[in-house]
Amino acid sequence: MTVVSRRAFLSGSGKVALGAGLAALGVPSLAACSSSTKSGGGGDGVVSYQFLGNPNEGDAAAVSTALNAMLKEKGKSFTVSLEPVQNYTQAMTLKSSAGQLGDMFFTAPWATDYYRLAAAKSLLALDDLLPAHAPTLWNSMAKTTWDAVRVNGKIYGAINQQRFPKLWGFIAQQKLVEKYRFDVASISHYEELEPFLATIKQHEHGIVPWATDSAGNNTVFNPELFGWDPVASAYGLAVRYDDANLQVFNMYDTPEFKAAAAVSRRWHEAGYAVSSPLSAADAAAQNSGGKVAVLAGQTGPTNPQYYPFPTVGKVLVPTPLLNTDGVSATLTGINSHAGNPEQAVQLLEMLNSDRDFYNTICFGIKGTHWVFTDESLGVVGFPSGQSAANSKWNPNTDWVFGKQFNAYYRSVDDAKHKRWEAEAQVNRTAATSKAIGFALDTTPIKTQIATLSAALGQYRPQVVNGLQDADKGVSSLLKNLDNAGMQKVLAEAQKQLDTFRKSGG
Amino acid sequence: MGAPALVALLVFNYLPMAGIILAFKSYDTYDGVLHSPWVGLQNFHFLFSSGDALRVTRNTVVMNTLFIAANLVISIGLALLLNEVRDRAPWLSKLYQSAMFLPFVLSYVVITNFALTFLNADTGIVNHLLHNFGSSGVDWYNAPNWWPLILTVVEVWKGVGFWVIVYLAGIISISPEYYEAAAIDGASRWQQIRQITLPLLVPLIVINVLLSLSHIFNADFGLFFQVTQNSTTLYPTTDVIDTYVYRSLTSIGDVGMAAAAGLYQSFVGFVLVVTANWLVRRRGTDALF
Amino acid sequence: MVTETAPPAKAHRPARHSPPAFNLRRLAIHCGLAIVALGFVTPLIIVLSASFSSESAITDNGYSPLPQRFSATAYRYVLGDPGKIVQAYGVSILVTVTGTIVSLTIMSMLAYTLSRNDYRLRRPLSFYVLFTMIFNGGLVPTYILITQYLHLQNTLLVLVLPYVVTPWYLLLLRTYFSQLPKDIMDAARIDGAGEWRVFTGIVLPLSKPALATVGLFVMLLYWNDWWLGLLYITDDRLAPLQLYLYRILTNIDYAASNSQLAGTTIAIPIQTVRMAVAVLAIGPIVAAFFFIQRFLIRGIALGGLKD
Repeated sequence: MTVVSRRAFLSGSGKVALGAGLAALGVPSLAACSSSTKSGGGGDGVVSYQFLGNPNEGDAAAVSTALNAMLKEKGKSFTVSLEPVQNYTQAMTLKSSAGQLGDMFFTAPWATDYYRLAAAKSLLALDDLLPAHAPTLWNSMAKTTWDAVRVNGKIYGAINQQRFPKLWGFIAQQKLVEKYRFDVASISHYEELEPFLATIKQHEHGIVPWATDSAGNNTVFNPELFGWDPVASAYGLAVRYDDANLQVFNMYDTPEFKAAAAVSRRWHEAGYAVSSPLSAADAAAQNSGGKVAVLAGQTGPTNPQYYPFPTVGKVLVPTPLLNTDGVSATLTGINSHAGNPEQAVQLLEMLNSDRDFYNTICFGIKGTHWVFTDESLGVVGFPSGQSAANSKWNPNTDWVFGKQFNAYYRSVDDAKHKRWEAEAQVNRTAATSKAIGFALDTTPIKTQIATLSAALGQYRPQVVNGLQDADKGVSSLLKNLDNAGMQKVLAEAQKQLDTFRKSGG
Repeated sequence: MGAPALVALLVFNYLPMAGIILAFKSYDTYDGVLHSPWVGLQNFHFLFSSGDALRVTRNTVVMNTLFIAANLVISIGLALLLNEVRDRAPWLSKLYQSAMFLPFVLSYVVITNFALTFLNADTGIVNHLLHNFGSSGVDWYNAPNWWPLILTVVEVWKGVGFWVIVYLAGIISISPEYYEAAAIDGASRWQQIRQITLPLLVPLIVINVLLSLSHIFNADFGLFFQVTQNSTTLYPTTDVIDTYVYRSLTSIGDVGMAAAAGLYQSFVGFVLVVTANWLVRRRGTDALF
Repeated sequence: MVTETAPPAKAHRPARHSPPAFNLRRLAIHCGLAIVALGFVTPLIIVLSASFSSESAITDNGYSPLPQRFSATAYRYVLGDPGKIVQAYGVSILVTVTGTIVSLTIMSMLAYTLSRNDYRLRRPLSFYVLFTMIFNGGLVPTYILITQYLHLQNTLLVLVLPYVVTPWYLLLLRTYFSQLPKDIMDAARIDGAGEWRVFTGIVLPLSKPALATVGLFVMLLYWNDWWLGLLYITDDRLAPLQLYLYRILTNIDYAASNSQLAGTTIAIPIQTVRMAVAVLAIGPIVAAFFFIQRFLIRGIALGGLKD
């Protein structure tokens, strides 16, 4: 019995989809973002730029000024107004419903629903503008890469270049790796971690050998590990990356998933993970406190990385994949109502080609927000007295603004091992999926998608965390997915894939 | 005299209700509320198309009924006890009330942490106590059968202070003359409570229960999502309409389907309240309207 | 529960007003209430002590009622920018005080109207109020209304107006008013007092307990709110305390889950900061509660309230 639901009468039904308890819409932009015009907000000669914000962005106005000075130096006739937006997806849904989208904004299938905005023509088609006004950006990626973000044949988002393939693997605390002389490089499957986990369990009291969380993120099962392209990963759909027929399947209805579930179950029973997985936030608190030995997840091609303790990782994906999922993960779109789209595209070009300009938006003003800790290597750090806790400009999301490979390094280790070059090399050598450019249109199967999401949310974490007997857990998951409409979703996806294949992909 | 409040309700509550039509539309941010296409009842389908609908509805209603009953019985009990000691020890009585009310100001985010300190299987206080008694403890976050009780305790702990104050104010406003007359007739305290206090509290109880009924289909998201750590093994007893809808729609964020779920919950609450109100009026007690 | 073990002493005055000085029944009640009260307070003490503990102690030993390895790190983290937090307190106090006064005034005005049996529109208007408790338009339409039509974003008004009428509290007030003795009001009317005089001169003074109670709840509503701030306030100077604290928490959660990117090598005191934030957020309202409670108890003496 709720005494009074504080926001029930305000948010009510809307709050459900828009995040409910989590639906905190923060819009801490300091720039003039409340000028609510359908024309995109910036006004003449000003490009308003909205992006995924975090709380360390109090100096947006000062950074805008610094960027504008650089634009003027380059002879540009426009200025930029930075508008970091917190709780991005929900806030942008509201902003678009109220006509408050900026001239230019960060977009992706997982944030702001790129496909919906593109289909609705809220985003501007960039096919002609990019080669004309952003040649460096346009030529920095292959045609197949650009094809990955096409919607109905047109490009609606400029790709923020970063490492595209998902490199699933694990990271382990360097301290423990060295103490027990664990040969990280020798591992090629998760099962082979078992002796190390057992050692930790036996000798390191107070350290959890294997990290888990209640949502079942970062587990021993990921489609890319098996050469599968997750064409709709949120609903468990995948195709083999080299399958010319584009035969779609339920990735949970496979021997690979069953085997992964058995591994999780064994580790749970052996006590390698906590008996009841913590929520994501609490798990993060515990992990960052150094109370965990090994975590599953994506890892970079270079070592060590910091979590914040030094870690050594190993990638377990045999064939890195170039697919829609990876390439479309970080885009910048232009509002179809933008006052001056050419200027916005020129701004994109600056962000993706001018290193100083790009690093100013990524790190802030030199001396104020960052200093070189090693100028020859291009490594930056906070000025003395500053940290991630009190910085006024530390977005820490290079991939939001443009080509990440142009960014300064944050750690000497990354610089020494030339991490960006290694990641660019991963992109160049990755295998291209036959399904690249395909995206599932969920409109005809909305009801099934909703029930399927609910069923996956309920039954998947128990299986991947090993809380249930593997065989029983998997068959109960599959039964519930079928009840929720999995077959209908598979059929619709296959239909769309066939159309995609016939139209030449 | 009532005009300002009526206007405030009109502007901030009634005007946005135009948005209820979203439940019947396929909402498209580009087209806006008015120009999005109509889809009839399609947005409601997902609520009923899986076997979970029955379970989440049952959990919602059962848990809310438990909360209403537990809060009612415990708050009236505590209010009666406080009333007994109020005259002689006003200072202590005030202290008790303050203590009981304090959790009311806390958010479920904070309470989630409390629950964890008590219930964590490895380091929690409850299992430590159980170990002392030779029990091996319980893995609470994987033990669904305990959660109706746990959630009721949490809900009562957080909210009962509010109701104690409401009912104590009600008890205090009963004229002392009734008790004086009863005492002269030789009635014991217990008889006085049964025959004077409780009957005179009935109108207040009726109104509070009626108001609570309107929300019996709406579960407190913070309680059911956060305090349970969203542990999926607990779903058999803790998955409620709000958490189910949240899980269904976070990945697609469909405004129309969310509006449909909200409208469905409101509609059932509305029917319940109007029916209950009608029953209460027939019995001649004070009703809501 | 109450038992009959100790019947009221036979005396020449009514039992309720002269129980014996020492009484087993009352002692038992006190014991029971004290245990209950302790149960309610213990978790708060744990929060307070955790906020003054060191992060590693919490991670190692869990929570306890006394601080372990005393440390004020969490507070230093939260209070890192004192100017800002003072500003945020200022906004919250202003909004809470204004909101509570305005809300109580206009809600009791309507509640009084609805409490009068002779008022023709009593039922339809009660229904009008109740209806808003059950149905609502949802987030998107409300957001559009407030930002596109009322243009209230980034004003202090947007933190006050949407909560100015809470149907539940209005109905509580109405119930209370309707139980006030009618003869006093009728007498005043016969003496020539208008409705406004009756309302301000008789109804309000007689209703101090109800006003104090509802006033406290309204105060809580305003004080604890971060939702309106999140939706409509982008100007840092207008951010209320809860929003400021909320951002600190988001910030720290963000930093904890992205520490690999952040390049920090120090574990962030996430658990103790959460607790310190809770203490800072509830501190003033708990103080206000103690003050109001005194008033509430005193107001309950209710001079003229006898049938």
